[in-house]
Formats: sequence, structure tokens, C-alpha cells
Amino acid sequence: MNEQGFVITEENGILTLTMQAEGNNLMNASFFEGYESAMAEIEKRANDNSVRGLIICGGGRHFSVGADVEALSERSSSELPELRETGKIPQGHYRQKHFFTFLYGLPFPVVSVVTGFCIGSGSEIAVNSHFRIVEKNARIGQPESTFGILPALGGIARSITHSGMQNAFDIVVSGELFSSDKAEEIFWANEVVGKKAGISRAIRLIDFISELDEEYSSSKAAYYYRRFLESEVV
Amino acid sequence: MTFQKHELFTEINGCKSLTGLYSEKNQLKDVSILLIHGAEMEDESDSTVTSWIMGSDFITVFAAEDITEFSYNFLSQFDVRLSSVEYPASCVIADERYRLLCGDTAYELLKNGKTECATNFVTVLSGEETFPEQAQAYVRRVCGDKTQAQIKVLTKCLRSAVRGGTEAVLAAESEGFYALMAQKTEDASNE
Repeated sequence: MNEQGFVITEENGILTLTMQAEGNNLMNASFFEGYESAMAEIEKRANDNSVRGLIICGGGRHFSVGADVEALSERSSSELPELRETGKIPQGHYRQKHFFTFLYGLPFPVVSVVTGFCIGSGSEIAVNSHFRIVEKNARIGQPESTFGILPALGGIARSITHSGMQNAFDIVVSGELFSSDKAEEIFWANEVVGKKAGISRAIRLIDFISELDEEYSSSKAAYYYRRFLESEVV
Repeated sequence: MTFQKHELFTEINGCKSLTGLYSEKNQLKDVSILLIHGAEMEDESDSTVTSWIMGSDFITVFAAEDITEFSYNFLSQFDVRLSSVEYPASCVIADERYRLLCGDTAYELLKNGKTECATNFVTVLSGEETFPEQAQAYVRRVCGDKTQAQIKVLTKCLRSAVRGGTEAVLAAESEGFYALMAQKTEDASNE
């Protein structure tokens, strides 16, 4: 475990990143430091053929309660002079964004197991994953717009990829939270499972994909999931 | 055809055709969200008009109490569809436009004959108010108490998916975030 509360374990070729930072994974400066360090470690394993998949989950009741809005405002405000001077978006933003969006390009299945609150930038970890297995009673959302900003770590782009423009309009512009059932209805969630059933389901999915396709491609994520569901129909 | 300009969206009543709307496009400058009450519209898709809609920065919300009267090709020109009834799954086509409107999973399922996902194509509204009132309430709820500038940035980000795909949205998100953050900081310093 790194000092910010991120643990990476490996079993049978499956990496599991468990996030147990302070405040139910409140995304403050300390969280990002630990998160980026853990993700850098995962990125190093991208070309390791022994890795069959990555599971991301919260260590406690919640996946993540999202960003500390005040800290985010302070940090972003401190970057504005650079933006005004150069006219370019600060490099710090791209660095931070990379540690979210690179997940989508990993050459093995990335599954977020969503429990409890999965809010704001926390939900951006989930949408940048290839698959989202959501446990019952989760509450999900991108409320950035209700704070006068927007989800800028892949949240809008991936909401469109997973749920389409029809639903992304509501998710992103309203900023309202939604239930696990709603997440499944709008295809934000691949599947809703019972409490404590998410991790085992994610392992089963990764095992299935490993057997189905030796050359994994995230562009086929929807295809893999369809085949996974079909494989279980008796 | 009447244009009713609200603070965060523009509402159109009595529109008979998209071609008619196109001829009035000068009235749509600075619009971010266009709510079209389209029950009386002709089911048409003209390439010039479609290109204009696809190239615009505003989100189009099409509302018709009985949406089953319209073809998929007509309805898929809009970003969002509202109705009081579900749209028949047999009329929905698993094409790239459907993929953009309803997402990768719904597209994959529909392409492989799983039509239950097609309900995602239309948002069904219900309530005691008239249908046009429900449609207006839907847009008001989504907009909430945001500012015009914020709605403009948000809709521009979403619309960039139509013109440039995922990479364009990723870039637009970052630009939009700093534009809004600058606005937020300016507003705070003026208070």
C-alpha cells in the first residue's frame, strides 16, 4: 500500500487496484498523488503479457465520493495565470487527465467494480474503464456542472461512448446522481450485481475474455460483454 | 412557426418541416439547446438540412407525444428524442448514428438482434401535465440553475462528438473546463 492508501495486488494475472484513501476516496491533492503513483505502476505493466486484466475498486463502502471542489478550484485558479499568459491549457491538467484516459488504451480488460458513491472524478475512473460492474444501491453521477464546471477527465467523452448522446446530455448537463438500476438501463453499467458480488463477477469476466480472445482490444469491449452474457444463457 | 427564447433554451412550436426550420436558421444564433415540439412536422431528411443540423453547436431535443409516427431516419437527426410512448424496436436501425446516440453497448446488442436495448432511443416522459409541458419540464430540469455561458460550453462539448468523435470531446472537455474555471474565478472576484 502506498502512503495515500492505494494497494495493487496480483493474482492469476489479474491486477487489482484497491483505493482506500481518506474520506471515502475524496479526491484531494493527497488522493491524486497516490492515485497517479499507482496508475504509473500499472502503466508500466501495460506490455507485460502475464497481465490478463485490471480491476479497480474502493476499499471501503464507496468507490469514490469525487473531487474536493474547493481544493480543485484553488488548484485550477492557480493555473489560470499560466493559461492567460500562454493561451495553452496547463501541462498539469494533461498529466492528470492522462492517468484517467490511459486506462481505456490498456491492452487488457479494465473493470471498475462500483460500490456506494461513485461521484464526479471518481465516476471518471469508472467511465474510462472498459467495463463497469455496479453493485446494488450504488449512487453514480457527474455533478460537476452543478458547481459551475464540467467533467474534464474523460467524463463527457466516455459518457457518450457508453450511454450515447441521448443519455449523456442528461448525465452531464443536469449533473444529477442516478441509481444502479438507472445506470444499467442507460448502459452506463454493463451489469448490476448484488452487494459484495462485484469482484468475483469481474474476475469471471476477465477469465472469459482471456479464453475468448488472445489479442484483447478495448474497441471490442461491447462485443466481449455481449459474448459473456450469451455464454451464460442456458 | 414560433420561437420562444428562454434564458437557457429556445423552444419551437408549429414547425412543419426541418426545411422550414433551416430557412429560419438566422433566428437560432446563440442558441445552445433547441426544444422542437415536432408533432406536426413532415417526416423528411434533406441532405443540406441534415448537414446543417449535424454541423451546429446546439443540442436538438425533438418532442412528439406519439413518436411512432416518425421514421428512424428522421428522428436520428436529433440528439435527444422525447415522447409519451416507446418507439418500436423494429424501426430502429443499428447504424453509426445509433451508436453515437445510444452508445456502444446498445449498438452492439441491437446489431445482434437484441432489440430490448432499442428503448434507449427515446426518453419516455409521463406525468399529469400536457406532453409539451412535460417536454419543457424535462429540458428545464436538465438545465437547472446553470448560466448561459455554462450551458453553451457543455453543449459545445457534447456536440463535438458529432463532428470529431471521442478525441474531439476529450479536447473540448479540457478547453471547456478552463473556460468555466476562469469564469468562476472572475465571478468570485467580482462578488
